[in-house]
Amino acid sequence: MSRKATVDEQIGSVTDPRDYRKTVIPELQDIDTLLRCNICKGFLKTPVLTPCGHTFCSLCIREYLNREQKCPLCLAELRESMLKSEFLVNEIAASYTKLRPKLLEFLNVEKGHQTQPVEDSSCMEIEHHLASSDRSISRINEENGDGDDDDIQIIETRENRPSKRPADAIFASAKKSRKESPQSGITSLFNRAKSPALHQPKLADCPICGKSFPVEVLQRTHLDECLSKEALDKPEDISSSPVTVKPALNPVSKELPTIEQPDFVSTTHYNRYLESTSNGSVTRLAKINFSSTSLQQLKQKLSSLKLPTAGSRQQMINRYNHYEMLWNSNYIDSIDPVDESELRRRLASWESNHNASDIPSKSGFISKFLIKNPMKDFKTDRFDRKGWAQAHQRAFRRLIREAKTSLKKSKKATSEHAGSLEQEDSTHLNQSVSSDLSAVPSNQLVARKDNITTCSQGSSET
Amino acid sequence: MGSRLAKEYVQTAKTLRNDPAFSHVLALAPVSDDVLNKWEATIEGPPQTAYYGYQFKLQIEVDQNYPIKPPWICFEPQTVPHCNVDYDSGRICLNLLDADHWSPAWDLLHSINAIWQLLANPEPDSPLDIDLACLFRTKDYCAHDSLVRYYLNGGSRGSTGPIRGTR
Repeated sequence: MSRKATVDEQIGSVTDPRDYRKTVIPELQDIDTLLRCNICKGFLKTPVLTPCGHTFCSLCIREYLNREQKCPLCLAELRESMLKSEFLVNEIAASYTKLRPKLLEFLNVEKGHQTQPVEDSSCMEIEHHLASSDRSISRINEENGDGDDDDIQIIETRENRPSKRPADAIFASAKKSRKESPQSGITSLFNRAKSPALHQPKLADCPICGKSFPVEVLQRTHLDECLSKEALDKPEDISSSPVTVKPALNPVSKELPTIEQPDFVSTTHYNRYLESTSNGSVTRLAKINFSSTSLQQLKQKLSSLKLPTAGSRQQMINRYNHYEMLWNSNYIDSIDPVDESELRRRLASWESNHNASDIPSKSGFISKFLIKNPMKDFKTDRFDRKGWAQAHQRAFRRLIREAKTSLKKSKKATSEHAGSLEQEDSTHLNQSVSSDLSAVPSNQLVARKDNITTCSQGSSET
Repeated sequence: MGSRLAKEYVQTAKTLRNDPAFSHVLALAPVSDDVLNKWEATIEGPPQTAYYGYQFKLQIEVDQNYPIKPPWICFEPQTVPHCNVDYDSGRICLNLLDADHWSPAWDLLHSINAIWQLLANPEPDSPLDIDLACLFRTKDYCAHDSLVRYYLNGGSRGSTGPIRGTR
């Protein structure tokens, strides 16, 4: 049941780009998709850029590169050393992830208020507005001669208008920009900048003049302007340029005081980005050529990294490889590296799931074989030959030993007495084999057991 | 990995509900909600092929290292006569599903879609069913299609396998 609960939890916590489909701006699903890693389908965590121009989570791509040295998207050759970290994308993804629930909430609420379908509402509203104003004018004209009924209507239309008008105007402008150009990520970015709730949390302080701007404006134009103006030493221009931006912001905060939030939420990401430097002090953890490394060297290497040296050679290799991945991802790609002890903690939690110690892994094999018929894919590539050999290693060795001794015996016997003793020996061999099989602890020797027991039964019957 | 599969479950369900481009995928979901590493899919035979009008079930098992490792997908045994499908086991020969050609950017829905396309476009150069591959290679599509139909309608495979039940 607890398992079920966790699955439900997992499903409940899943975010999907199509969450935007039912909102006012369904195009936002494009951004949502773009900010996700193609491997884990989650939002980019510590993104790295490949030479072929694709971006993945550092851990996702490093794990894949341990197996295949190519880009998952374009299949171009790719090695770990080619990866470059992308601090900007990291901060964009992080701030977007934070913003996302609010964004969705706001866009859904907005839709709830609209009585008409959003797509045509802007035009409709304007037309409606014009029509109603015309009507109200005509009503006023009529009113002069007519009764009180119309008076009420006029009041109604006038009451409705003022509250709706500013929002309509904003949406109308947003719609216009969308209609002018084909729907794309960039248009949704524009929409985002124009729609009140969207740019509001994306404010950032300019590091030069100290005034706050939408991040977009800041990065695209203002920083350059500000820098060049500072160089030219024209303070009056600096004061003039924020003024052009500010008025666009002010009505928004008036209208939607609930959405207004402190600037530090977004500025931290921006500051983090500006302050980020490549971590030169910590060295990359090198890959080890395990085929030329002795067990002793391997243990030394692990203990020098303060890692446990328990388990089989393969487990130690896996442990080193995973730690190397965590280490490099953390110290080379991450904007905000964590402590070594935290890395070791992550390694331990990974190991409990993926690199289990001998005994659980053996029972893992057995349960795996019990669940599905192991013979089903005995001949296909899927059959776990290594696992099978490992699980039954002891039994195989004993069988080989038995076979060797009895072979020697039978040779001796045939050289001394031809014929009569031969049968005795072969039955002896069969008995020893079958008794050996019954002593095998695992009941999984289906393949061999079938063959051998049938032949031993056959001969013992004779 | 668990969360990745949960993600995929939700996204697949949404796609199947909304996207007409995947209307041939009739079902794709975990066998039960408790275990997310075993999935089952049902696809429709592609139009303008001998498979049209039939439905095919696929078994999917997802490796612990998915999406780094490919999922394992096969048809139900003895349901699909196709030159790249082993009739008796349902094993599919599709390079996408090899460890060498798999890319973690793929997901289950796209794998299933690729298999659907394989049904319509047999690849006779790496056959698992020699007879159908030979017919296809000699461009005797008429014979190929009628043999496929014969098997789909419960025709006997002779000594190579037991007579399959009627569908």
